[in-house]
Amino acid sequence: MDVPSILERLRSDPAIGGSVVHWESVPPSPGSFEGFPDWVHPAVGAAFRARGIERLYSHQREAVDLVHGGESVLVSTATASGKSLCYNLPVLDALVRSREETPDRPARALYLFPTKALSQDQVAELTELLQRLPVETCAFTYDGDTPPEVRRRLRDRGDVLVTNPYMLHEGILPNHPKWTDFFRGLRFVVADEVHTLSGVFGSHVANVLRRLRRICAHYGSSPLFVGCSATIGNPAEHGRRLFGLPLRVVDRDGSPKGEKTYVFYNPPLLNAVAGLRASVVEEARRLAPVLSGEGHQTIFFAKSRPTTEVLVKYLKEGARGKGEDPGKIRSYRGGYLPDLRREVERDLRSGAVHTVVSTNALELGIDVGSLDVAVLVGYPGSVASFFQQAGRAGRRGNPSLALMLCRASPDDQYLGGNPGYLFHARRERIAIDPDNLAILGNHLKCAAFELPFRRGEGFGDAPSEIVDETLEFFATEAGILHREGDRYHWMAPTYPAEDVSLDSTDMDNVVLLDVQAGSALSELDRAAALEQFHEGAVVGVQGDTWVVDRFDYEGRRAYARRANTDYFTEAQVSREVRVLSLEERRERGEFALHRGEVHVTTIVPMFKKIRYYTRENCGAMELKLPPEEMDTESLALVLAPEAAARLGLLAGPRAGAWKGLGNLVRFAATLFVRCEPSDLGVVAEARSKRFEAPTITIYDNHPGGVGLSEAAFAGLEEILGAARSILERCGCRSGCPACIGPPEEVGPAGKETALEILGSFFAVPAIVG
Amino acid sequence: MLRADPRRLAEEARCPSLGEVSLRDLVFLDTETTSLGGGAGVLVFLAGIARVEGEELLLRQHFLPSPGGERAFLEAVRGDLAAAGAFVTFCGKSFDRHRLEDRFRFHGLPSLFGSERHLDLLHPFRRNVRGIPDHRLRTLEDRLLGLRRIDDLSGEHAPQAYFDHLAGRRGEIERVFEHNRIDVLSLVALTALLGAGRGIDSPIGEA
Repeated sequence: MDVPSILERLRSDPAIGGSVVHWESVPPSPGSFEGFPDWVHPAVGAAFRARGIERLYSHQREAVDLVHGGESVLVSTATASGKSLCYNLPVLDALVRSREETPDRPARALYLFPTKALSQDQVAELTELLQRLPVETCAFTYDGDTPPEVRRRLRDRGDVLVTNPYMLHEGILPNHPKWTDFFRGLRFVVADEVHTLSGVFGSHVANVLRRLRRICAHYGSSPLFVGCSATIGNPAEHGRRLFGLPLRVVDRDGSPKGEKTYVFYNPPLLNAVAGLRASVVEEARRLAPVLSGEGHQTIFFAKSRPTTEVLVKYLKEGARGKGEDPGKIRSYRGGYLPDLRREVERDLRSGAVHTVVSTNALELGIDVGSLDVAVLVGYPGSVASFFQQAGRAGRRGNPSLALMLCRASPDDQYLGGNPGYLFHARRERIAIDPDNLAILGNHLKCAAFELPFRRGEGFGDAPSEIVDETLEFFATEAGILHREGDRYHWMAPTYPAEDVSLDSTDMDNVVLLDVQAGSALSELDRAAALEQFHEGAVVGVQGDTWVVDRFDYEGRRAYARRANTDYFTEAQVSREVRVLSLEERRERGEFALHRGEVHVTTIVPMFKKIRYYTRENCGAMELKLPPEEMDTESLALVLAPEAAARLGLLAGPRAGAWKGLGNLVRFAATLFVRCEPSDLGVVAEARSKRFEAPTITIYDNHPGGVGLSEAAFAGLEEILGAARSILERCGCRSGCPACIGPPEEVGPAGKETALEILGSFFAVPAIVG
Repeated sequence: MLRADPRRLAEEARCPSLGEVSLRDLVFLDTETTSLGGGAGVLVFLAGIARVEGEELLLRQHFLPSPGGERAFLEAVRGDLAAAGAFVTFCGKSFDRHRLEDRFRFHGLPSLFGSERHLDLLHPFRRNVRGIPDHRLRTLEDRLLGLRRIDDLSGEHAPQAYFDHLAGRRGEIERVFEHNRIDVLSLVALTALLGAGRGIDSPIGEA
């Protein structure tokens, strides 16, 4: 079937049409084209033409001209708008020309991708182009998987190095004397998917890039930076903060677009009184015969790895039932072994597979070719992700369809009722703070290890007085630098990059083994393994199921055997905070504000068995898993119990406002300290043990803390002011996901109650001192 | 004073080109560094270099008094190493060589270790000597040379001794010099043993 026929089915079938709550059609655009620039070396132009590229989209032309003219650029356009050409063309041109003009100093380029899969994808594409050039050049990935025996050859011979921020931070920069030729010739630094470099992680990466530029300066090079990003709200600001230099933004997308139809589908109410709706997975299964099949390609985006497996199992069984080939339906997610992922990517590109069920792993730019229909099984959580996923459909200028199935959750139900929110909301702003003291300090250590610092030298665009003070502290108090004249030399027996983790994730994965086959099935990071590899868990891979017999937490192994179950499993997660120490306190009216350290405990106390298809709960089992523990920095907002009683927070229809306020304050705090929501944790309690009163605790979601709560505590009045202004300006009546949360979650009086709470905070003037 | 058969050394080291090198052109090298790992922040602060001159063994220790003088220090070390026909080290192929090369490149100085002529004593002794707990230099000295160090500063304390020296604290930098001196002398003795033309796993008595 083609997309127009699918749309016709959706419109005409009464069993479907009744649940469609919104149609939004975006008219096609013919695109705007230009020729190859005159400056492009003939051999490079020929290499691109040989791959079928005869002309450029206008934004590609704009970007390549800027880069060729010596400007750093950030390209922020839609999915599948040909962003990689924006850097590959000027890079290849420079590779060829430099070999002709300065053969003793050939140009080199460094490409950074957030994941290994994207790196491999990019090298495959680049290699095809490089092979068509008249000079011998090579591109290679350099990451944890690169065998030590080939590393040396790659260091000496690689023209384009493709790696990730972790490897640059821990492997390459601290060993720059082994890369002298590479740094001497470095002309371009390319960072793709820079919208993923956000929050604390992005702040770390910005500092890694400051270190990179410092090393380049040492070797006499000064590379241009080319960034690519999904459409974001603040490309110029994000690019400048991340790269630490002024740059030009290219965001007038010239790629042609086929007509795109967005359909919002709200599953029917099963029980109007309880607000129970049919499960979106169930609805996806029911709609699959219309949405997917021979003749076009469909991607289903599921919210989690287990959901991916449940859905692919349904779809394969459905195909089998109709006598169709279930082999044309595949699943894709993180945790699959690399070979399996490559195979699915290849089969999607070749068309051997017509349907894929994926987590957001396929949201980034992995090349899987042109798809026609994207089905979002639940709202992916952000406007940017929504459009990235929807953008997977419609690559060829043909009509395409993005259909979102609304879950029963408050966010999804709000969007089902107010789809305009997505199309008119401002794109999210990507926030990073490279000058965060904890993060900056850590990278100053790494930088001092890499090259001695001269006093007053500065560090990228970091405030120079802070840099000097920190270096002096390292020399006099910490004893890790030796000051000689105006120079600071690293003088410690350690390797500082090893102790600085860019995103605080535990790199020790847990591997799931098939006990009968004796082979690895899947892998997960430790926190996720607790929820998905516990004893009794049902784990799916490509629709087949295994049951975990034993989970060896210490040994990071789980053992499973093949079993056809008629149920899947869902773990429950609960989180608690315990105050370890209080370091600062101030009061304002009926509120007490605290800053201190907390211990956060996450436990998985039990799991439920849920029958496929009916979703009937068929048993629960207790688990005895070790808790995940973390000590970190935090702040607490405590409301006097009398005030809570007066405001009606203790019970009844207004009680939900406290939790909603917690989420809103956390959101406002991320704006103030410039981080991602996931960098801050929040727990709102109606009565905390420590304070015996309603308490909102906000903590750094990074072990040991990175100074976010401390900064937020200092500016808590401003943060609460921002929260109040978000609430006041929001057009909704009684709460929505853009402010305090939808009424289903915060109660019908949630918004007015939250406004009263904040009003009572500001009713009393601040006590100074 | 040094007796060893170059062809035998070449054979034991599995490096034929060593057989063409005269014993007088061997340079014995051992370095002390600010860390036992690698990376751009690791300095070589002491290089002990010995060679045979006439009937004597000449041992020179180059010391980096403070990091600001590194380039001059490296140039002095290079001057001493430049005429080497071959290097003799213990574990130098995986450590000393890379620490020095990193520092040379850091300062834009060309490589010195390009040639194949490097006898890293660790490898032939590891291949040939069995029945001892490990193949650390200390163990080989004890079991094969009958040499016991008295009051030796262990190598892993060298970085701290250097940091103390830089900070003007009373420390043990003199003991690092002594430690390095004995390391280099052991290289000479082990080379003699290796090139002596008899089973090297039998002790040779007093050195």
